[in-house]
Amino acid sequence: MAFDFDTGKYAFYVWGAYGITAVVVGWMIAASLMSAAKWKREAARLQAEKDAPKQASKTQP
Amino acid sequence: MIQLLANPQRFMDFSRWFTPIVAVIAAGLLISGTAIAFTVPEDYQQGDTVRLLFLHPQLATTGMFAYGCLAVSAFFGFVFRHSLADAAARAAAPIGAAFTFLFLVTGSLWGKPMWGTWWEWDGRLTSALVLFLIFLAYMALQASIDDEAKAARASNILAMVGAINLPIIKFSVDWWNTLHQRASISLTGESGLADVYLLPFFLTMAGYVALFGALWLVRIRAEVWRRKAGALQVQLAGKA
Repeated sequence: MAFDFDTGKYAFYVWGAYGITAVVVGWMIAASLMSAAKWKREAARLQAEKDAPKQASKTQP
Repeated sequence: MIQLLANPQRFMDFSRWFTPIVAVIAAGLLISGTAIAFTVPEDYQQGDTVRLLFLHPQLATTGMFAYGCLAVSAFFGFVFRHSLADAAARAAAPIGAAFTFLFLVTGSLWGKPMWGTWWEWDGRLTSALVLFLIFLAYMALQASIDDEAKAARASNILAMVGAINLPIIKFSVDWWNTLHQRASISLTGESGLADVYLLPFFLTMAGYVALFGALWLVRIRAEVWRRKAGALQVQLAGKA
């Protein structure tokens, strides 16, 4: 089983198609993970902000 | 399964460990399938462009599968007014649009050397472009309405109506004269593909669908957190 990466006169079409797929798929993965991380952080931050006054009022005499 | 999907918290608990598993399966299938795709012999007619047989049909199927997922989620969101179904529909749109974009571009890159043209306004190519435009219209409609409940309702209707395009794409090659060949793979009859191409064809097919699945889960999780953040913001504003 040997790899054949020589696509001859069709190199532009074959590598163009694989190349753009790699770029778009990579971008999709990065954008999806970053969006999930951003909203997870934001939800946690707001939850902490909501809980904070309660804790503060508990500690007051 | 419906029970699981109906409860956002249970979905988040389940998807936290399930998503990485799907992602690993997708990576394994894509790496092995694409590697094998570059070891199979060239086609006697297509030459080296046969390597696109392990990319373009897979992207096409995944783009259409993504739309199917969007439409089914939209149906559940519309009928049962379920927020997780709305989130799932919304999450599927950008990934489906990206796969459909690649479906069109790789098709064009295969069409030029084989048909002698980048584009032809025939049944298959036009219906594929319409699929891409429906994805864009869905996202634009959602972005244009401020009230999220109203936006979900309107875009769910659009998504369900747009589903009519899926059978049109599938059967366009049978209904009309088109440059595109008919389906080479059939679940019931003889396959038109040489046996040596079948393994990488199905490995990459399953790989791209699994990749969509993993990305979809990640984006539904993001959407659940986004909604939680929105709800908390309203609560905090109410307190202030």
